[in-house]
Amino acid sequence: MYRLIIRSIFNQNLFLKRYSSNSNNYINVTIIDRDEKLINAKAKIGSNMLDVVLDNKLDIDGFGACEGTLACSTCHVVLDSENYKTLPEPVEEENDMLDLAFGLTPTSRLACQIIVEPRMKDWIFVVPKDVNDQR
Amino acid sequence: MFTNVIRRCFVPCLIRRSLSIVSNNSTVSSSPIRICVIGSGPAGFYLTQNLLKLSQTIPTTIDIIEKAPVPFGLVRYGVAPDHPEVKNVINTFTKIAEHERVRFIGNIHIGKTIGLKELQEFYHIIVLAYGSSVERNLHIPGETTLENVFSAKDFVGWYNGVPDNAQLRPQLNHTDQAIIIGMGNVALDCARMLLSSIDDLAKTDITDIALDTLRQSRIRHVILVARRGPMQVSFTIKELRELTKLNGVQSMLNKEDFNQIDQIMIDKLERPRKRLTELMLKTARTKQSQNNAERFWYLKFWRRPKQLNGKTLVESVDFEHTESVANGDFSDPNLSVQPNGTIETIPCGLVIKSIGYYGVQIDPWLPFDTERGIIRNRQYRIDDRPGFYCTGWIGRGARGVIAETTTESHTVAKRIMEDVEQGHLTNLHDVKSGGDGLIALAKSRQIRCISYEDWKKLDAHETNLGHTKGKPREKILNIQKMLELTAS
Repeated sequence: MYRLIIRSIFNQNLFLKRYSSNSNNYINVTIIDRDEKLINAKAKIGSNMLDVVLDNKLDIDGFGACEGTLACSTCHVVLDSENYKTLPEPVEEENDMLDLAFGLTPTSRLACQIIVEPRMKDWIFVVPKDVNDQR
Repeated sequence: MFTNVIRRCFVPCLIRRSLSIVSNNSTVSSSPIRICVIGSGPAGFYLTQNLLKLSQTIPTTIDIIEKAPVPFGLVRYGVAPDHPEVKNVINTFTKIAEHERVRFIGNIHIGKTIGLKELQEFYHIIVLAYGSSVERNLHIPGETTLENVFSAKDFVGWYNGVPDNAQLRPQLNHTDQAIIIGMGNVALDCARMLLSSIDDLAKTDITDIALDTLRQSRIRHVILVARRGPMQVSFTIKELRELTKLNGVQSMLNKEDFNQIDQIMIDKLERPRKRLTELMLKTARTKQSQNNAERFWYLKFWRRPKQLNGKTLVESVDFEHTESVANGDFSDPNLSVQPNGTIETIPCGLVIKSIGYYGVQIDPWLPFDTERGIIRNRQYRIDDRPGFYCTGWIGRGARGVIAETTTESHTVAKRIMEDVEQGHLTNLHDVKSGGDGLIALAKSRQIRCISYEDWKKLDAHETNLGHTKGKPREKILNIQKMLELTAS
């Protein structure tokens, strides 16, 4: 009887450990869409921010048209300057595509090139307005 | 007195109320607004995507009409075979085409099978998005009489499987030097096709005919020639960078061409032009040391073609050297040039003219600017044609990559829906049959329309055929065969 109790406690601990190590694979980030709506998204560590938008099934028109191959600028996001500075430099090919992004800012990046790391917990990514939203 | 008050206040009130009931009933129309988009390239598809988004509360259907039996326009027939990532947009287009309010109708030639005015019987709103398919010409001696002189449009059509260009037969094994006139992205595409390794090209959706011809090509030097200078080039940085990184190929830019460019000039430029100029500068100034380079590409500026020479095949091109007109600014994108008296002859065995495109007037009823090759429009509304709009190259000129057309389509869709919501279109309450009516009319004129499901059959065939050869697809080059495969 005692063995049963001890075993079930032991198994519970193992279960908790496994569960918490799984939750370490995700962090929470905030995405602000073109209507200025704040969206809480779960970002899988090691994936890129375009994956995050897709995995969370966010309805952002035309986002990621070339599917993360650096052939368009539709996954354009804006970060705050502190966070932006901590990202690795964009490769030339990303800068080439950012050249075409509407409403480019000094802290703009392409979401498909931002790899999610634990330290990005609670970061905010703004999807900038499109041309017609400017009117 | 009381009755006066009643008559003056109550009756108008009643009348207003009954009027509003009537008008409310008529806006809650059981018949949807029928929209027709002519052209199934990026302009047509992105406009449709935006219209869908803005019309979620207004019953609307959108038909995308296409002249060819296959959709996607230049995404299928223009984008280079080695740019498969650019073609990923097809996945977005497929979702749009399969939306419940959208219908793709292929194999209908507007202006031939049915007139633009006739189309109004079936649709309330018509958007022209059919691009610019005619190449600009040089109008110089030898251009039309010598062999092995091609427009980039035909050369691109040849390697991309456009049925009309299947018999082009460029000869590439009697010469080692090619001249491409023009410095836009299409010129760079042609250069890249001539210089890329066959092993790399063999894995793309380039046609087998083109692959076989290129396999036997002896071309080793590709010279791009432009009338003006480095600050007026039309190509963009992604495509230029790609060419500078091509395996086994050496970039041959002249340092001297860039002597007039200083940091002050560069700092005044907008970011895209600035980075592009800096890349050209870097390429020109860096000692190229690709020892295994077997193929070379050159940029030659300030040369305008005057004459093509040869007996039957082209053998050389005479260029007149140009200079900026008085007070011209080296960095002015609209710089004008004039000849300076010097003539130079450059030998070559192949000439490709890549100097731009313009649109056609598909119907005489369409107000058209023949000089610019665009539809006359103000803010995308076609002049004097209420209910008619345009988007993409046919409305603004044949310049820019897909991204620019995508951005523009947001504005065009907004403009159309504004006109709908503000009551500027007077026929919206008419009941129209849309695609059903159009398809029935086409059938009565012996034309079989291709649906998206039909296209998918041809798509599957091309994909399977390609996979047997290690390619993403093998395009069918014959229109009849294409039509058969959509029916199977």
